[in-house]
Amino acid sequence: MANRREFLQMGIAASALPISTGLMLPNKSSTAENISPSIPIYRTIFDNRYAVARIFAKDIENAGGKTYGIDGDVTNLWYHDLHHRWKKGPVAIAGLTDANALFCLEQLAWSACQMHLIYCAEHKPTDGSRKLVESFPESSFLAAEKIMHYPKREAVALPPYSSLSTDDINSLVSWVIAPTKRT
Amino acid sequence: MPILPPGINETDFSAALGQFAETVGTNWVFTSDEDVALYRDAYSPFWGSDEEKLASAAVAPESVEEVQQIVRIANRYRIPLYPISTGKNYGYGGSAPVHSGSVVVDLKRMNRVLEIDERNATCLVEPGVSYFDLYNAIQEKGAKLWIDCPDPGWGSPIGNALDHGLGYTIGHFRDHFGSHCGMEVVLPNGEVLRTGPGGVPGSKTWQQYQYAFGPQLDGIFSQSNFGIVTKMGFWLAPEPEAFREDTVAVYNHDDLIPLVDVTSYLTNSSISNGLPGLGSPLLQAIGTSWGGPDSDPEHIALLQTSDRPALERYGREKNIPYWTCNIKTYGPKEVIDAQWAHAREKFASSIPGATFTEGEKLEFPLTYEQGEEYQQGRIAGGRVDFGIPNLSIFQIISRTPWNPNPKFGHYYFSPIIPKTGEAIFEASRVFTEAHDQLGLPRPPQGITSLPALYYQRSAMLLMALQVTRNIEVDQKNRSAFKELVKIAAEHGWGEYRTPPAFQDDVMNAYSFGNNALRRFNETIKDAIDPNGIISPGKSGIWPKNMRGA
Repeated sequence: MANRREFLQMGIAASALPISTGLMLPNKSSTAENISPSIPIYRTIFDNRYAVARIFAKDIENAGGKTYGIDGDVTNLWYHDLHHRWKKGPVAIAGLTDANALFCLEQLAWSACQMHLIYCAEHKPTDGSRKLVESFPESSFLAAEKIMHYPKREAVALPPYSSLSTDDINSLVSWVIAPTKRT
Repeated sequence: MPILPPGINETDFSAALGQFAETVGTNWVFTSDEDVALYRDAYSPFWGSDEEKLASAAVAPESVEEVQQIVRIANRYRIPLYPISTGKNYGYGGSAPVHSGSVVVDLKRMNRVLEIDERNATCLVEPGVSYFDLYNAIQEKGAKLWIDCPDPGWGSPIGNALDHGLGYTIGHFRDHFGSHCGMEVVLPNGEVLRTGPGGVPGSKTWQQYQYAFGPQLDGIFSQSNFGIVTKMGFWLAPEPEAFREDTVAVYNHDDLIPLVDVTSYLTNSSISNGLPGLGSPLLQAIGTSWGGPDSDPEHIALLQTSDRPALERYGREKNIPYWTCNIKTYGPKEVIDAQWAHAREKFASSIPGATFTEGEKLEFPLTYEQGEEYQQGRIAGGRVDFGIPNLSIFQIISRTPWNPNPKFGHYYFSPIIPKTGEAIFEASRVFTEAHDQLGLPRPPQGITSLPALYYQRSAMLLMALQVTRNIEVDQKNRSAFKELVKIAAEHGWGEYRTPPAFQDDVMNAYSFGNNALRRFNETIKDAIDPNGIISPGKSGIWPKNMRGA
């Protein structure tokens, strides 16, 4: 298990991570201030291929959240669900996926109803070894809770990297896409 | 406000934005950093450098009249505009302008499917319509029609066609601009023009006849900056009864020449109407499992040598073909079976030792879920073979053995070469040497790229350069790309499409007659857009007041 210092270090690393458009919540206070308050998470997306993401989803479900599993490809999520829901208006989504899935969802959310990626953190090996960190970063949940009134989660224990279904993963990302107040 | 258009003062820019807002509503003028950032090219080869092309703002009209008014305002204040349909042109520029400081005209709100004519197999759409939207509209109508879409289904049929995009289904439908019929264009002076029979008020054949009286103008609005296309018609494919995909395998290096020739004969004769797919199991073995536990050390060692006979012998002994070609055919079930029988005979009589594998046979209609089942195990291709849009390509896009986890995108070097085995060998030699000379990662399979055969009478190489977001590495790759453009031109090959970063280079490679092509484009540009407001620099066409700047 990572200790609290490692959590904090990961939070710092995450704040500087450029993902697609480069919008990062922790150092984007102007964005944070523009977040519409009290918007619930409509769905939490997880990548079914990874044990860590499945554990994450189970935890969300246990807390009463709705989840949607993908296998890396967001097509069905978009075609059968988000496309229809976002036609009715913007609702926030969150997730633990790879960066490619997030890239697609960020683009789709902007095109559909001008929503932004408001939080993103990368989770990757901290010591250069082929092993994911063994705890989910507390900072992401704290941020999500603060911004989205999302229920605080306890840190989730992750299985060792060797138990994941593929070995070509370098990192996963946790993220929140949500409506923002237009200025 | 991130940046101003060059040469425009803040007062005029604010006035223009205010008038844009009066036209479309304040909610549809985007000026905040967070909003404008979403018009950056996520795959920009300039990412993070001072040279990155950035928009100053964006405006999203909902109607042709609003587009006209935006153009008039832009002329008043000399504001450069950069129209996009849905802005999903990744690998070729995304939604970022060619000229930094331009205001993006985001046409995503113009998203109506205006007409689907099942009897004539045509449609008329607006630029914000995506392939998903058009597919859904056809399904909801219950029309027995197919669209032809590229790998990512989130793009716009209009945007893709205007940039000469391509797809996967039947014959000429794969050429998206070639299968359009009629367009409506807001000209730089704000007037609206309709091409083809659309020039006749109340035309009854706008989507049925591609020509008009006099010069056919449609082509000058593709890959250009001569107007903003606000409607476009397309020909759709009547849903075929059945599909089959079969494979021919050959075992000698030089068998590629007759393999391509017979494939061309079958395509040009409409005996096979699907997209042929070339492959090389013998060469790609090393590229797909480099050094992995399943690789045979003898195979790897042979691939390191230039002992081609030994490699061919190894392939025959292990039943690993040097080359393969997937032959896809759409049509009535009995007919496509007969077509494959004829194709097989043609290959067998032309290439001694060729072997054949009969593959998937499907009957239509397919449900979306059946299409999904067909997709299993495939990343590229799959559902798009049947005009079913999806986003699967983003699982693996541009992943290669030497860059297994690309994070920041890529851009394509994509020259058109002759559709012959000899040309493929020559291009492979030339570009492999160029990769070495330019310090680019050498493709491990020893052949730079097997061409895609989207077009019936030419072949296209697709070589992806990775975006690293390391400014020095990206600069080196951009320089290498420019050299590749020159090297291609020296051999008589030109690119079919390119990101904004290289559009001047590619246009300059079309240099016949002292760059007569570029100069003619500039003459048109100066005549119809004297203020240079529409997409300055697009395809290397700069307005007079910016040329040489």
